Amino acid sequence: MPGLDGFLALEWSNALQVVVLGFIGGVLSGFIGSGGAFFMTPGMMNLGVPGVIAVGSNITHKFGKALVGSRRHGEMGHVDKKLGLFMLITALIGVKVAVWLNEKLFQMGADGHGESTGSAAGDLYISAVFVLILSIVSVLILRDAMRTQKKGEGPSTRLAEFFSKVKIRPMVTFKTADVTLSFWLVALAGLFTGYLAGTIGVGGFIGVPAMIYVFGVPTAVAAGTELYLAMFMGAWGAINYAMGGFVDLRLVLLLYLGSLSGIYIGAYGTKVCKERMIRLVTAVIILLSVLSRAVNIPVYMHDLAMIDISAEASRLSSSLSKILLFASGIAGVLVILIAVFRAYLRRRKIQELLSRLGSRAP
Amino acid sequence: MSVTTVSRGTLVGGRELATRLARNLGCACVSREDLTEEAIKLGVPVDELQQAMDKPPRVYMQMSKERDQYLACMTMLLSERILKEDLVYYGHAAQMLLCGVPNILRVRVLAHPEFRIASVIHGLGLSREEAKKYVQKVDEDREKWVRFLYGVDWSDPAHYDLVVHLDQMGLNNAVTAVQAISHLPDFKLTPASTRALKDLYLGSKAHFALSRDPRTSFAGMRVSADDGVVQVTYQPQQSEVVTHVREVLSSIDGIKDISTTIAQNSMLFLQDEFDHRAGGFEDVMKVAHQADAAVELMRFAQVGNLLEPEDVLGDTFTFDETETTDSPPKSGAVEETGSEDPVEEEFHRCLSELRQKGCSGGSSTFCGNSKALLTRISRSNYSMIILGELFKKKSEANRIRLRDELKNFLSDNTNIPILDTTELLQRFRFGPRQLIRLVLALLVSVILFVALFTHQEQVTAFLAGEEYGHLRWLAVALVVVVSPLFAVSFGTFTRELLRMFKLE
Repeated sequence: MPGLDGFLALEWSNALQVVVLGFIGGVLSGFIGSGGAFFMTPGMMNLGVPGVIAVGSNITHKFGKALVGSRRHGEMGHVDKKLGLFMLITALIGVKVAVWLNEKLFQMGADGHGESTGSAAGDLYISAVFVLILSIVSVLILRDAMRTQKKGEGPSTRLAEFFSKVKIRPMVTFKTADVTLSFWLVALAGLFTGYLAGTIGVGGFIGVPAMIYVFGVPTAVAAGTELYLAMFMGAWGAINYAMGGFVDLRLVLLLYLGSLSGIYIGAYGTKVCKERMIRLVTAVIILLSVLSRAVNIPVYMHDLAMIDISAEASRLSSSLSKILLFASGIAGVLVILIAVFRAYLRRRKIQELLSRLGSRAP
Repeated sequence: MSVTTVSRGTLVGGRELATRLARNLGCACVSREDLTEEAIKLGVPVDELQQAMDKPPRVYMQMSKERDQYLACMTMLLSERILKEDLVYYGHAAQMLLCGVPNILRVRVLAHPEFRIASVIHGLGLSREEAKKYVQKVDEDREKWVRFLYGVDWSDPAHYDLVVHLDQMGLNNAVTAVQAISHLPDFKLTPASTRALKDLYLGSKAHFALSRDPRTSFAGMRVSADDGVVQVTYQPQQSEVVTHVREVLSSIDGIKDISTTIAQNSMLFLQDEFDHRAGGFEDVMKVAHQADAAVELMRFAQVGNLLEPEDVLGDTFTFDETETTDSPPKSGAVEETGSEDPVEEEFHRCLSELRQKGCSGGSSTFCGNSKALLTRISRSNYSMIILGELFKKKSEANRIRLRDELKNFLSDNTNIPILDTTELLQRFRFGPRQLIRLVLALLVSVILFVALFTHQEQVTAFLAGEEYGHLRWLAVALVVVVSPLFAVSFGTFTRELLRMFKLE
């Protein structure tokens, strides 16, 4: 069908690509524990979906996935509802601000739902925020992974130690997370989480590290609470983006097809890979996704007449961006699949060894 | 043989009570500080652990390996001493180290806050306000320490047989009362409690050895012992320790056999008695295999607050020493059983089957009330707890009620999923109900998918077209209903499909 109001004209080939995006995003999501938006949002943009619709569709996809995931985390006692609700107060404001900004920038390019060039301002803004935030996140994860390799310890706790001394009243105690925090610190983290979830769809990359590194919350509780928060932020984001007509329900369903199957493979990968490897793979994939987005920035700047590049260079940048993104995703998924397969073989060998040892026990 | 543990806070008189009690009983008196000193000499980072408690939970929760090593060492040192001689042990939560061992008298000593504050003013020369803050801070630190080590609230009287408040009772009278109670047959070690102590000693010694050896220290292992058989369970990521475990443990005397299991998850199967043909044992094995889990068999000899009123009324004793010492031991202690005992044989058969299938997580016999069980559970990272046939000696109605009470109590106080054997089947087996769910979920997913993709133009126009601008709230409703509905239905379909192929 032809594209309508900036919506992607879906054919078998690009519909399949969206499913593959969802699958890779799902595998990475299960493996890393994030929503996978860092891969799916730029992937959709590479397929020609305007940034605001890619973000709107992805946040709607995240809403459903978080709904399923947070229920499971809740059953396991990994959700601090009080912390989630305190963060939610400001997170909703953050989402609202982000959606408003995205809509305004999108409308700057054209009246209503414009042509793809009309979304350049929004795309540039989304890509810039994406590159800035995820570069910092990936470098921090990489540094932490290298540090862990040296010392054989868990994630850094220096920030948590520092922020535990911040006693700006009112102080609130969160029982499940087992921490007492300044309300203002929680509110600030909620605001940033909401803003990033609304802008690039990856609020978890701020919310989870903030809870772990700054608040000192145990990792499992941080992941569960973020999913709980994501459920409300996703719903709020979906409502706001849908009000502006920026949610493509077709993309949402195609993403689900891939992601809900892939997430199980990724989750199994975490059981057979060491934490250091998980962090290394995460950091490298995010860095490549950032690079993929970064090479597209000159194209958007050119569309906005901020710089001048040839049509050939523009095409090359777009192709390179697509190749980098898919290469990083496919390579990441392959690494995980190989690890799963090798773990299976290793396990079989060990079982054989154990049965031999068992037959000549002391 | 008798053992008394005294749990005390700061400046409550617990040390004095323990010392006098030991003197009157003519036995040794050992303090937490004595054992800590020995532990430090053996290389346990006790100071690091204690300093970490001043930092946020995230910091000290990372020290779980150091904590496990500390607990293994302290348990080893204490149980070794008890096996040699009668003693009185005092510490913060002294009885927790011997959790699950029956016939130990567990005493808690309390004193009025004013008495404690006065002692601090006198002893440390602080002002009243400073002394009050000091006492509060010390109490908070101790509470945090005990929660970190054992995951329980040490002030809960359910953890003790006797709580002595020195505000109402003088020290001498308190010592006399505790001494008299310690003579009751309930608090004399039986062959069963001695065996439990031996297992505790062997398991903690093996655990400590593995935690010290550089070849195995990096791996987070679960170690236990039952009747001389040491069970070591570790995760697939730590598979390189496999060849070293036996080498490290070979130097320890008293080990009859070593059983090692690699498993991602661990399950606790709690039951009165085990039978390989009944009580859902086969189903548990199947689920364990499917979930890549090691199963620990725990025989639960329950005592305490879930007893029937008639049981309690029957427990009357006088303080006549000659009469009481000759009385048979009570407290639900598990009697020593010979190898020809069919119950014991059946238990070992179950264990051997688990080992053959490569999913043995060891075995243990637990004696205590539900709160003591909670302490024991909190110290292990179980992925799931399965309640089998419990309270078999009770009438059916009482059996159901007691099991439900235990299940609710554990569910309320832990984050671990608690299932009984019938629920286990529902959760993991793929039967007709699951098939119906799979088909329904698929049907809903397909209907939504087909409806959307055969009406793409209309749907996208409705979602974003100017002509439907006045119906935008309906478009929003469509998005917030269809998206989660498809996620839930397609997610359910995927999960049931994986379950059908035993891949969940």
